[in-house]
Amino acid sequence: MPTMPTISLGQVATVIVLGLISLALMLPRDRRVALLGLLGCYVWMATQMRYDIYRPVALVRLGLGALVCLMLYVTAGHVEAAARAEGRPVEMNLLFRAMAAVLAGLLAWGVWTRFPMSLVPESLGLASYWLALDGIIMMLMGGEPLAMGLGLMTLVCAFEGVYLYGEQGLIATALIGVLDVAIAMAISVLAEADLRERGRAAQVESEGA
Amino acid sequence: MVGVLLLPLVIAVTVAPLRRWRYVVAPLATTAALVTGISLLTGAVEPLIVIGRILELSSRQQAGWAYCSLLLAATLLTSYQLPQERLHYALALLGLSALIASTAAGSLSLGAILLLLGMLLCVMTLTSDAPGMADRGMRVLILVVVAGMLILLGSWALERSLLLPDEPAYTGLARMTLALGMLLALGVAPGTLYLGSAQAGATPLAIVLCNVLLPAAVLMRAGELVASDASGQLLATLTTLGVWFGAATVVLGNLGALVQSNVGKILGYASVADLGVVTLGLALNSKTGIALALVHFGIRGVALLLGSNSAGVLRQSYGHDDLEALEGAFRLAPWSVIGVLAAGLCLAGMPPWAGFMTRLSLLAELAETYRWMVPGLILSCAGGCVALLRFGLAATAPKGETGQREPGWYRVVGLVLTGALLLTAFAPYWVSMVPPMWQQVLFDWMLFPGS
Repeated sequence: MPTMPTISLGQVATVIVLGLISLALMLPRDRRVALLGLLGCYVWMATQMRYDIYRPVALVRLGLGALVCLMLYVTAGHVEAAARAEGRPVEMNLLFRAMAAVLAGLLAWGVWTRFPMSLVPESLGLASYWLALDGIIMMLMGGEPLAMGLGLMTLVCAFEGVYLYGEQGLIATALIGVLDVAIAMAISVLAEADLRERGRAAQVESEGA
Repeated sequence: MVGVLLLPLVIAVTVAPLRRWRYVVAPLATTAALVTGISLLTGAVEPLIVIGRILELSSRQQAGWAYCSLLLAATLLTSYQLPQERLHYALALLGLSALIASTAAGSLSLGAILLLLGMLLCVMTLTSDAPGMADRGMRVLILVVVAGMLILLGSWALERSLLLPDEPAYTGLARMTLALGMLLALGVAPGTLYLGSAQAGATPLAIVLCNVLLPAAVLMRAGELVASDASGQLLATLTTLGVWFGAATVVLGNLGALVQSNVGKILGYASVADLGVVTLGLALNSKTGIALALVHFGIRGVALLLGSNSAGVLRQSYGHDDLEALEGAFRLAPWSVIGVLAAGLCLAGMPPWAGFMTRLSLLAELAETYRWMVPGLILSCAGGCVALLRFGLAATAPKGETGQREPGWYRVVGLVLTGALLLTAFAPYWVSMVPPMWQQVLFDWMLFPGS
């Protein structure tokens, strides 16, 4: 007779925290609020890092995450202001995004139980699957560069969580930090370029009218 | 090594705040790329040790980066009158430095991180005034980051497998992630669709960075990783997947070019299809196949330089590069039209252009193992040719003068680069006039220096 899988208290706590982060990432219409979810990802991953000798590295990673979120916040501010000025409609409604977040969680749980990562702790393995799926769904649902970029940053954060657990070299960790900033910068550059494009298109339209 | 890595870096930092003065920034950036190229070409570059990590280039890698640096210098010089975001000059030099460092890095993981950094800097140049450019740039960014993460994971797993040879899981992980990551980063199918369309409206600098320097760095990194894998499983996986994905890229790229009605996109898809030919040649894993693929890659770079500049001049003169907008363009911009046709036909592998001979020889080499594949590949080349024919007919159509005359400087650039592509096609005949002993010396020096 099949038995129900047992779920520990630690796993329940992990699921609750990850669920909240996932909802914070995917539910808000305002990208600036969604950035809180990304910050949550960095905080969670910093708590999962294994630095036996250099413990402050986790703090540095956290600070870097805050810097990345700050960079994207500035761009998100510009994007939201432009969207308000244009009266751009919201692409997906709240219920759809909530369903997508739940689906990501269920899928992550399924994948994690089927293919657990033996090299990392359970909580980190589940978090990586969940956040990576959140990132992929956000990239697929995102209709403009910043939304896709937030998904990409979430995916990168999930990957780095696992990678930095295995690779603990300081140079590699520092360069990964530089990569994070470079990816955030690339997202900002492309999102700002998209804004300029939209502005030009609106100008041409108004001149035509 | 210090000079080669630091010069582009220092000049990039210098030109970034000066970006308003294009007439200062462009010559400075060109000089930096030129000096880097010449120093790589002329002398042995001393290894550098940074915090216990060695940075070293083999003579073949040195030759490869010398070519890339000189091509970058030529691009910076020839395209400086075209509209371009000034920050791109700094990004190009930073990208060059990061990509050279990625090749030189002895540590596999550090090499992968630097490669991803260089790729990011290259993709950041995919912004311009063209509509939809940011969206397409974002898709390429996602492709590059995913490929970079796979390469990073694979490099780490390969390092682990070298330390723990009894753990087969690491070898398997390294093999699959590295093969997929490398092929994705090269832009083979299905990434072809993103990379091809991203070139519509991109500046010549962005096109050369993303289509020549970035794949060159990926290929050189792949060479390092293959050399590190003692089991030979990575090479076997790369060659098997390379043939299939390379062939799919050729077909998909040419079909993509066929349905386009925009010069930038036609050239973009044709160039990605041509990269499929290079992938096929390398995947053959024979000395002749690799040599032909490398020569083809070099010719492709010159064709891209010509094509991207010509498309940029047409966009500048006519405000757009849609075929409809370019009707009768030959009257006002003859060298731009000739440039697009020459570059496009070279990328499509049509005679008498330079790409024809190398492509033909590569397909002949491929036919020895995959005979049934060759007719389909040749047939698919018609896609790019038909698209270029449509462009040629539109450009020579009788129509009133609607655009601006192409600038005088471009006539010189167009003439020189078109001539180079045409004359290179006949290079085998010139080489055949050289005594056999010297032919061997020339061949070894060009393709296998130091081996």
